[in-house]
Amino acid sequence: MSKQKNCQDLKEILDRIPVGVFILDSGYGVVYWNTIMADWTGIESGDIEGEDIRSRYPHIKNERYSARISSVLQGGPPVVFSAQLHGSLIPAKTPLGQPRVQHTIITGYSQDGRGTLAMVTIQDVTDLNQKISTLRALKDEAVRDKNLAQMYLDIAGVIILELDQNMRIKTLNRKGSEMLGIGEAEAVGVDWKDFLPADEREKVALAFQAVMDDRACMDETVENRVLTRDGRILVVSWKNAPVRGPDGKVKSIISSGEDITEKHRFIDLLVQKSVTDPLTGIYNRAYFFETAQNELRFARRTGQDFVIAVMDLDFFKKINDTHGHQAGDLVIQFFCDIVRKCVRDYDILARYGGEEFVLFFRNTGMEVAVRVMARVTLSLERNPPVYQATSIPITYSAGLASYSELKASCDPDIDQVIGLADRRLYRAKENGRNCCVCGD
Amino acid sequence: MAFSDIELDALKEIVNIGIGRSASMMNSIIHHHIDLTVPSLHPVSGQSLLESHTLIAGPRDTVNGVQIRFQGGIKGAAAIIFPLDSACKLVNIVVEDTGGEFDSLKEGVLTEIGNILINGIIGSISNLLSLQLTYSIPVYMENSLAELLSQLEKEIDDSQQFMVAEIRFSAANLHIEGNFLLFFELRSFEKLLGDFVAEKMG
Repeated sequence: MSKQKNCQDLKEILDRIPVGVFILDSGYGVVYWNTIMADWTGIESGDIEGEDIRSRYPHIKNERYSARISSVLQGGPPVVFSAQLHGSLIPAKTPLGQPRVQHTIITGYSQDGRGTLAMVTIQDVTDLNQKISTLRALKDEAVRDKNLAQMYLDIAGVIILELDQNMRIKTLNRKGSEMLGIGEAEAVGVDWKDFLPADEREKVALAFQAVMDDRACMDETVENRVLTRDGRILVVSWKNAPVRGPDGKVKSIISSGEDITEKHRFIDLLVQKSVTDPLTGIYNRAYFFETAQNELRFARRTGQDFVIAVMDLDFFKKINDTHGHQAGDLVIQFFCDIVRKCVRDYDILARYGGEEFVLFFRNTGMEVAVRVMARVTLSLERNPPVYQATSIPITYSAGLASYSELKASCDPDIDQVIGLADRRLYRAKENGRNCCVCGD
Repeated sequence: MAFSDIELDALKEIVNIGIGRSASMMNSIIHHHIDLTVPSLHPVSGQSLLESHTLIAGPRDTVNGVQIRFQGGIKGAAAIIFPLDSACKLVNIVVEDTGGEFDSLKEGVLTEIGNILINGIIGSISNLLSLQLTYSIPVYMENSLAELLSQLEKEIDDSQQFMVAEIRFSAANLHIEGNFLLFFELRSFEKLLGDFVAEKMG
């Protein structure tokens, strides 16, 4: 009686737990089939208890199941059939018609008089399975997106840099890594200021703070010099954008940087070309004129004096005719070199015409200027240019005018000073050449 | 150590029989052919277990595996353990998956694999030594090796005796190694093994 009651109690308990349970005897007969099993399979316990389970589910005869179930029935240890390898021992469908995925454990237990029975416990993991599949799909998608984003970063022809709130590098793309000479991974955590020349740090820090505080415009470009690991200086033009956290506050800054070093160099080169004479490398007439005007304004304000000398090579046409144009070019270059050596760094030498030159002596009086001219003459006498083993003696004529002498009578402009020097040059030529005229 | 060479050999044979059964069971379930061998099996006493060079992981390494406890003829526990990357490789071969995380579905697969292996060996031991054992439900574990071992030790009184076996899986050019650990009460096991050997010889 008590045994029966125990059985009854057991059945009531097993009918209430949320797992599928059924019990097999040594002949695979179904001794007990709980409510959940009935729900899942549509087979009521009354219809299956007492039957051989293999008649309903012939796949159980298969060795992969029967060998292991039999081992339990023979007193062996419990057996696990995992969801992923077996799907489900007893095929079942969810209310929506999806096949159930089940994790099954079979344990043996002995009942007096009945030998060992196999208790099959089935845990439904369909939902879990689905969640895992969804999660995996999401993760795969996230990985693909991340890879795509990484590709964008890698192929970008500009530097892409992300800095955290403390101006430390969070990300650096391939282009940035190449240009700065530091590995992408190595760069993480490095202080960005390490890549800035000392005189740029404050300016960049201010610009950085402006973006952090949301005071900057997306379209604003910041240009600054950048110091690479191997000590080169680059000029980079940056566009900056704040990256916000979920709270809306700026967490980091992403910057896209275009290397404009070459552009700057090119611009410098163009400027240089526009102000210099191609043959000699000294300044050209246009530059001289503009600079001289500025100098005059400065001298007018400060009371400084300056001198302009206009020089002309003597018998230059004859040199060209006698020795050829190449010789002529050489003579011109030679002359310029000599003059440059005799003047100071801040004096301006320019080519005015074919064989005509002009010198601006800054902050100088006539006496000093005249002495410089004498040095040039002496140097030419002692060391004439040599062309193809032939020495070509050259002389020049010059007219000098000082600002102070003109200032005495009027408020001259630059044309007037140059004009006076020019008239004196003419006189020098008339006087037989190879001389300087510095007064009237 | 109390086991004689003959007794150890006998135990190795028992384990090999068991592993053979496990291998054929595994091969009937999965498509890849897997070879199982037990290159070594030897007793270790408590303290030196962690230093044993046949253990596939260090004390602080994370290992995954399955354990089962038993009682009846003798009281003890058995476990199969793998380092995480071996566990992943093994599961991936079995389910023909190329990767992904070691999530709970894969844990389930490892539980089944461990279960098949343990059952083969324990089944063989209990059959040949004529033991009537009752068992706990197989449990999946993931922990540091040291934690795991101390947990298992607590289950058994008067233990301090272990058998450690290396199990080697070869499949599809991959070689995966794990450990089979057997814990038992020394005196009862000793007697049983001794009786078995005597019977075989006599």
